[in-house]
Amino acid sequence: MENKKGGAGKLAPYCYIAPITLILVTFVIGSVAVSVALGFTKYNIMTEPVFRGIDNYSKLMSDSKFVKALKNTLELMLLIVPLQTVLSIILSVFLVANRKRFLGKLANSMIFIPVICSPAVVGVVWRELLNGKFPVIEKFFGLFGIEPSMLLGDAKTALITVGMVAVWKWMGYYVVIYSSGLLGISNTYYEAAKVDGADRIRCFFSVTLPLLKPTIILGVFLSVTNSLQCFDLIFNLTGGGPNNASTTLVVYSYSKCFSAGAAGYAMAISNILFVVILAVAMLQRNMMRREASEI
Amino acid sequence: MKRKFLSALLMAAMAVSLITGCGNNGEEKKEGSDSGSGSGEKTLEVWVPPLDDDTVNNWGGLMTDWEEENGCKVNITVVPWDKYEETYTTALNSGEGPDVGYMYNEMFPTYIDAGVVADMSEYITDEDKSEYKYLENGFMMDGQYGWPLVTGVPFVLYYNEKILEDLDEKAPETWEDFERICKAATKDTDGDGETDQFGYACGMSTSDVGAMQILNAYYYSALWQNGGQIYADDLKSAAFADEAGTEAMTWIQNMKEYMNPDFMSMSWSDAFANVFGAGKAAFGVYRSSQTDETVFAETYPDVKWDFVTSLKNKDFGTFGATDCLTLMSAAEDKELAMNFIKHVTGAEFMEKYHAKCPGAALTNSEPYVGDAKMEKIYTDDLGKWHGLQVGPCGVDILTQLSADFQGIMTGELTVEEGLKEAEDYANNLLKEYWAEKE
Amino acid sequence: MELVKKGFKNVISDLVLIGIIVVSIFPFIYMFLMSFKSTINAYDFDFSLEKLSLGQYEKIFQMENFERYIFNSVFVAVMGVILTVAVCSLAGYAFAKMNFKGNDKIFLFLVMTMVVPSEVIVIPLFLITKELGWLNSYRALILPLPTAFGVFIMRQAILDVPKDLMDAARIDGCGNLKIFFKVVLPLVKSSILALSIFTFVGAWNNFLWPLVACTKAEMKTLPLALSMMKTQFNTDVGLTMACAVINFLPPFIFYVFMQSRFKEGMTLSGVKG
Repeated sequence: MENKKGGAGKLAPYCYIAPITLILVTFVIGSVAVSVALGFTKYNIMTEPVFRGIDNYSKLMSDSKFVKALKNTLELMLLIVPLQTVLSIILSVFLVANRKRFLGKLANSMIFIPVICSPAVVGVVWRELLNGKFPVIEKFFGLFGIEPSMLLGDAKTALITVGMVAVWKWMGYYVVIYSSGLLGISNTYYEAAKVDGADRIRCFFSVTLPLLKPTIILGVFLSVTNSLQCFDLIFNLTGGGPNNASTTLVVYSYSKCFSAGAAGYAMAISNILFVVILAVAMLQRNMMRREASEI
Repeated sequence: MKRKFLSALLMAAMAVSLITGCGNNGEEKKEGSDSGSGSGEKTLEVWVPPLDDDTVNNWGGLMTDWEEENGCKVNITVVPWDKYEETYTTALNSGEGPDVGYMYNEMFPTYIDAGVVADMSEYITDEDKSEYKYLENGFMMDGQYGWPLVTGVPFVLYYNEKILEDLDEKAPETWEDFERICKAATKDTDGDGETDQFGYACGMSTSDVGAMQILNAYYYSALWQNGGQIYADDLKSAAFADEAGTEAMTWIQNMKEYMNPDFMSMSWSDAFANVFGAGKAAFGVYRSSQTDETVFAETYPDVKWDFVTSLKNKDFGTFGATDCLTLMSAAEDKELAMNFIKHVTGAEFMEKYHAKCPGAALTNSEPYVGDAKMEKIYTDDLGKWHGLQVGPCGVDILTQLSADFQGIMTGELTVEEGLKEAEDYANNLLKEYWAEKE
Repeated sequence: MELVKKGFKNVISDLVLIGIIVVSIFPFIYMFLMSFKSTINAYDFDFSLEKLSLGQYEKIFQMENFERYIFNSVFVAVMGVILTVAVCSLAGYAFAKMNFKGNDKIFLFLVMTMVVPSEVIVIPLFLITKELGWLNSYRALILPLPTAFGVFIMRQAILDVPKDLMDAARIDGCGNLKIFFKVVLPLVKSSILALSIFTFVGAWNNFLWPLVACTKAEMKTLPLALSMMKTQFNTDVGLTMACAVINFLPPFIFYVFMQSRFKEGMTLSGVKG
């Protein structure tokens, strides 16, 4: 803004953003470009790729497994995103309200622990927990009339269970984000609302939520991308089964790439996934824009 | 003070990114000196998965004599089972692959087609043929691409002697026996209204164990015992959905009512441990080992057990994996690599290794050292188990079959629907594969 | 009466808080307890002292080159943190406080890279790294670590830095870079700490990428080395859990260490409503 010192000054910002841009362009954008290119080939990783035009894509159209994986991917997203968002906002409000107390501080730290743990380990531990006939767990789930060891094995509940574990694992992450948003809301708004005679519930809906909107947009965006990328967790909980009931596009692409030696086809699948994610992100773009300009 | 610290951090970061970016750090030099240190001495790169929990020392520790004899250093790299193929494919792409590798049966077709594993036929002498017992298991797609290293550990059917005695039954021999016992064994033993003893302990989750495992443990035995097979003999179409295959699948599906109800959540090994091992099932399937008698006495002290290698319906049959050493096409000194392969699978080496980590003998001159109870697998029952028919697109076809198998077992698909889906999938792939070959 | 009501309310919220804590850490307690069991196969939940053993841990610590693997993991994660914080805060500063052509557009473009799942680009990433000749080097492990999320966090945080402060510094004759170090960075410390935690955890938990990028034993990271102990038909829950614990501890320690520097729990300054 104040840079009117001439050439060097104008270039300065670009120098600041150059390192990260270089890294992201080389590794991420570059990879996507390679993936798009390889999507048109037959490739087994070990020998040179052979150009096949749109073969892979036309095969995708008739691949029932692909359709199932696409459906599962979207279902998982629709399951995770609303639940994650609502629960973490409620938890954040609660934790922020209790942040000065010892237990509140403790809970605030503890809730982040699942985030630290690698998704693969979370998958293994939860699988063992659910299947292991651990008495405490059996009793706890029994309260709701659920037999925990049946959850991962049933085509109807496998994906839901995966979604729940994912929500559990990432809760701390979103609590940090939403708490930061909540702490940024100035107290004067609440005082004004109180003067108007609003109770706490009213306060939440007419003050907190509207003011939290930019943060929610960010949270939802992160939640959408994270849910679409969910991999290690699924891999270790169900392996995509039973009967591909929890196979998502990432899982499918991955298994095609490495176990079936069809990397070209796998790239075609991931390219479709990119398009899906981009489409979802674009739906949010206007909101993102507005958020950016609000600040 | 803190500010200083932060800016120092930042400066360090930039320095690092500059150094790494400019492409000449210490690492390169070290790599150079590494390969240079053995100047004049050959090295042989060998990749194996974790064969026991300390492979490098247990296995690699026995190399010294051979290394001296051949003036060569053996470099053993342990490739974790998690993401096993990922490691191979990428390393082969970058030319960082080994001279001698290790693969399991289903892996081969892709690698044979890519030309990265070499045919070992020309190195086999008549002596080898009579000495190495399982060589033919490494013969696939018209070549000796594998040299069996870990085999002789088939999936067999264990039974709980106590439960069978209570039912006045002997060891089952046929499908009828098996079904009858299963039916009688599935009951509520403590009278609380819930079934707590089952006929058949099963686990069909494929989570981190991989999709193939449920076929290994439960499917192939039924298919083969009913006279079916995966591919037609010419490997040009799938055969598992024919009459014999359909019957076999229907049979397993019917067994569902005698299985532990949570069979779809557990892996096959968990099911064996938690259901059969806890004495709660008449039968369980497990990958046998010749030390089972000793090990089970420790892990399942309360279970009185015995086993049958295979039931018989039309035929005997159960799956025994064959994991092989492979000669990689990229190996510079193939003679040396072959010499190594023959050495480590030979009696002298294996006797020493098996003394530390038990396993089945690979050669005729290596004596049987396992528990007496298990010996019949290698004598009377030797013909009752075998490896997998290796065919093109193997992993792809079997993964789909495994998924449909799960679908059938959960009741999501009927036997016919499931097999049809898997068959169509397989035949499409095979058609494409052979069309390209011509 | 008021007092009783307030006390009652506190009890309720205490209970809920305890519930949150239990649900958050229960699986880890289970993991920890099971890691002291040496039973192969059968599950048994007898946690009396004589039934517990350190055998699994002994096995792990006896692993050859254990220190090397730890070093690799720590080195990669720490370097990753430093690199990420450096490049992201620089870029965040530029995006937040400087006017230049394409500011918004470049920023949006970078943020869009967040949507690419890392598992599906492993092969392309591998091919690129191979072309650069970086396989089997620390570069391959460290350089891909920074993400656009870091830029996003830092930009949001720096947007909040009052303009007055920066102007005051400028009047004192400070250049952009000096303002950045002297004024901006100290004010966004909490975001830097949070970003450090995110990055460290991400780097540490990487499994597939180090596996593919480095075949040489001396480059292996700890999670990889631990997985080398797992035989194909391993059913030893104790060993699996012990490996999980060892794997989990370093990021946990890093988190606790960093967390102790937050006054009121971890926040990202600037992600405001």
